[in-house]
Amino acid sequence: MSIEKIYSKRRQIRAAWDQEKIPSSELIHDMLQRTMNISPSKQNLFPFKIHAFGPKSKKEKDIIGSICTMFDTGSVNHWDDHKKDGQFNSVAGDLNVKDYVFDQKGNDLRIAPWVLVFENRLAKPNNFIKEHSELHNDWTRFTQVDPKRYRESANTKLTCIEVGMFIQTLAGLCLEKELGISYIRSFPERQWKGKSGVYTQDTNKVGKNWDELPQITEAPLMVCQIGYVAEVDDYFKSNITDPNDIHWENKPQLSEILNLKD
Amino acid sequence: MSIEELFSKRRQIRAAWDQNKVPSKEMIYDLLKRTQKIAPSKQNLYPFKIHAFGPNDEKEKRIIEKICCLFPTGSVNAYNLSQDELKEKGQDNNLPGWVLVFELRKAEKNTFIKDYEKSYEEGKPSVRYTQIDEDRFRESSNRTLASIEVGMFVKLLAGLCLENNLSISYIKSFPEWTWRGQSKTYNKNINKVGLSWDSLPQITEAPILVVQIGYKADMVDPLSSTVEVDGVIHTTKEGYGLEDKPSIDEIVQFKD
Repeated sequence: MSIEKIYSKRRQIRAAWDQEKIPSSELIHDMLQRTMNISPSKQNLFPFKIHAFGPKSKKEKDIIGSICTMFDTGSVNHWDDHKKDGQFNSVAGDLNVKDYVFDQKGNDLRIAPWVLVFENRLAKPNNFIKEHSELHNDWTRFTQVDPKRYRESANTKLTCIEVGMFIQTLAGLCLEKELGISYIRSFPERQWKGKSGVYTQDTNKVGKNWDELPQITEAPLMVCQIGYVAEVDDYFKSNITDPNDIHWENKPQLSEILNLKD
Repeated sequence: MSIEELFSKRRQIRAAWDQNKVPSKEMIYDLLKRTQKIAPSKQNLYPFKIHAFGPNDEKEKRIIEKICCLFPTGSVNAYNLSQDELKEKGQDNNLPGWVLVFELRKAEKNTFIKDYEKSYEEGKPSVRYTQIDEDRFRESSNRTLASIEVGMFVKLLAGLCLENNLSISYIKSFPEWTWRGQSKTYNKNINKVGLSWDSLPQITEAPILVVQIGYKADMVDPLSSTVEVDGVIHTTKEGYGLEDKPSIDEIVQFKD
């Protein structure tokens, strides 16, 4: 199947994760290994870490869900609505989240079987780094392996590009296996303050941040959800196709983002 | 061909670009158009812009080469050497047919954003979507989002290139622009030959990534990295060690 056909199949899943058919730990591990084999990284250092929370890690996945409830309005997954007995306001009127997120057995379709949190990581010098540094007597060049600079903005931006490439490769492998994959970037940020040597961090609308999850010790960059997609209507899905319906997420014209000079 | 087979074909090209066979403008446009169709972006806003310099833009491509000469040591593309010096070293096939510069962009509001503002922020300035916020789109949080999305976009573009037997390389060794919120200016670094992105007037926002696209010449790349492919180590440069990858256990923490 062509790249175009494979990636055209992807949809952002919000409340349609199959709670019966679950990808095994072996399958996820194998896909991450294969992704790494073919993913590019500057000097092959991979300056990020992945925390993969599986089917038995419900507590951690609930915490991540509540951390990703970033804004006061329009948080489509409505993770904290249980506090209001599921009630929420939407453009369609007053609704109850419980009417839209449970399967016939009462399982919550918002909980993905696997949740991956990507965070910044101090990479270890590989052979290239060691030899290059010795050859040029320069031990300061590669920010990915520098304990004093790997959290700085320049290295974080590099890491973000590489995480994006890694995830897109992983997405292709997931889609080949009929797995759904979704991305979440609405969460409180950690920003490195070099002068004071600490991360500052935001909190979300329910006062939470990544301190709730002790495994996360560096700046989180991206959250990914993976699982099989249930054959249900995902009520909270984005509108990417219908110009006549509300909240149409229309793409810009290519000419708006491309300056082709020749 | 499977995803794995396709992406396994990619190699970083440094000085082995075919100087005679060059992808057409129509082909590059088509590849970018198809990439945009399948590339994800938060709220579909695509907070970045692509400047594509082609076969007739040698001047601009040479400037970009020189900007990407970041460090005093080991700049493998040796962009600070003249073409004659490079020819002498057999490294003069260093100019790809196309060079794409990805830079930050303030996105325009789409229908979703307008509906959202109407529903939740009537009469108030939008605070939620940094991608469209004139005062905040250059800030760190939006930069990291844009960087992830550029990574995703470029990976898909790579797949389409590889399907068409085109090579694609990535460059991130260039002087950075860092936004200073208080003074509302970019702090612009310069490289080892004193250049910054100011040398290329088309670039007005923070550059995120440089991508090279072209056909690979039928030759060994004299500047290729030392990498292991299917258990075999490929090397062309003395003194440049193996860029070995960490083990999967070093970067993945499993909790079933």
